[in-house]
Amino acid sequence: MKCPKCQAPLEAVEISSGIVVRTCTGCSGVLYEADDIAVPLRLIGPRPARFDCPRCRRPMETANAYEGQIEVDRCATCSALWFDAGEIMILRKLSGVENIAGKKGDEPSRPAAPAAPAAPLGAAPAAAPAAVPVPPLPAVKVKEGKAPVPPEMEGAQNRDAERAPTVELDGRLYRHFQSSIPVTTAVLGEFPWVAKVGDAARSRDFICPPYLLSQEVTATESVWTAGEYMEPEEVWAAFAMPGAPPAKIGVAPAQPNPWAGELPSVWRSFGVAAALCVGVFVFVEATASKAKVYEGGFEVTAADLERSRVGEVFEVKGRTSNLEVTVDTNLDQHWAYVSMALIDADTDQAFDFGRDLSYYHGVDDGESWSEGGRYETFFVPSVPAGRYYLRVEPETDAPQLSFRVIVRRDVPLKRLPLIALALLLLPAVWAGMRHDSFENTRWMESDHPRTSSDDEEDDE
Amino acid sequence: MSRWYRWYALFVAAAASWALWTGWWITPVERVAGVPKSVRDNPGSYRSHYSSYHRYSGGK
Repeated sequence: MKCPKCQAPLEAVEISSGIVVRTCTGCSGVLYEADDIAVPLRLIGPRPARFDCPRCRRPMETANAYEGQIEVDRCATCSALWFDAGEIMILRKLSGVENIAGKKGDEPSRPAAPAAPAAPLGAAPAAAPAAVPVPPLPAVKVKEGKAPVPPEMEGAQNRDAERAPTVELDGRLYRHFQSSIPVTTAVLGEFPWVAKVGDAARSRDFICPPYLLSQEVTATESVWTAGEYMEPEEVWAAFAMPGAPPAKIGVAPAQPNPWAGELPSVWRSFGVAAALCVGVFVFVEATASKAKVYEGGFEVTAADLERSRVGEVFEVKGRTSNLEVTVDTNLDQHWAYVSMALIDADTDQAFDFGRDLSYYHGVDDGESWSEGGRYETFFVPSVPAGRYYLRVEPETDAPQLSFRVIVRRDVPLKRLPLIALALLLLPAVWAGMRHDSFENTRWMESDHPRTSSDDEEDDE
Repeated sequence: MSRWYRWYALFVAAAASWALWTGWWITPVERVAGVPKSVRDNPGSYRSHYSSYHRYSGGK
């Protein structure tokens, strides 16, 4: 038989009288016959697993037990049970049974009190062994109403069972980054534990940049390691290495996002500036006079030798503001260019400007079309108060051109706040894109790469 | 970047507010000085920057 997870050979191991299990030589997973588990397993929420039963080669299913605290893989046909490395230990703790192996109906064995060592005949009774101090469990933030449990139990509770588990520790939420089955291929150096080639464990990494948690589970233990990202320069300095460290490649799992701290501040500044622009526009729009200060008509014909005309003097009041000029013509299948001058009647200053208009229309294959327009509106900026008159000089190919000119004072430009908002938005969006690009690079190496359809939350 | 952006945002907001208040815009308008008062009675004597008189007509 081969392991359904890593395809390594399964070897038969007799763990108690009459109970034979298959253990994976690669990942330490264990296959139990259906009748060889003495503890009751109330499996709920079965769903198809991604592998087949190593015994009968039929599809397996995954189900939850002990209120979702452990996932068990069971063959839908022969009911064989598959446990990944470390899950037997979790099942022992959840069930309170030390030896879960046993024929159904047998009384499961409970943990017994450790027996006192037998004293040799004639010897004085041995003194009771001194109690070994148990180190305290790390501080774990738990949900209200639940008893404190060690991290490996919290990590086993998939808060997002479909995608990625999370672990809460010391007020931080660590998100699952990747799982793997590291296998020892070579051993070099001295170790305070027994290490040999072929050792395998189930490893899971969780990150909350710049912190990370790593869990390694074997058949006999579960080890949690906490770490914190360090810059290469810090490591170089700590070991007094010569020169400079090599350049970074990619993004490390727990590497802090340099844009993470900037984005909230950038968006706050955007909000304040945008509110200011909109507020000023609303104020200016509400207080703008938009008063019509002049309206006059002009007419020229092709026979006119002199086509320039002047209008009546009109008064422009108030603070320096703009003038909205509308030219409305009777153009029809002709063009006209109207050069205009707004001349101060009291000084020698003038605003010189021009506009070209054209209007053509027709019917093509039964469909009507038109091009251009008979009227146009434009703005003369920053005109101070004073007395002005208009001088107009049209050029046209029309035999006769008549047009009206309407001038309004203090008309706020609606496009100005829009342009300001666009200018404010561009750098903020760029910073957001840099932030997302960093996160995409980080998660690209994980078990949960971000795609364009993902909508995951960013890390802090 | 946030410090740079803060000043940039303040500048854009201030510039937009000033433009809204004073009616400033990027319309191509030429400011001309030295316009004689006689133009009122003789508009043909004014030479507009935007009229065809200011375009090259081919003469030497």
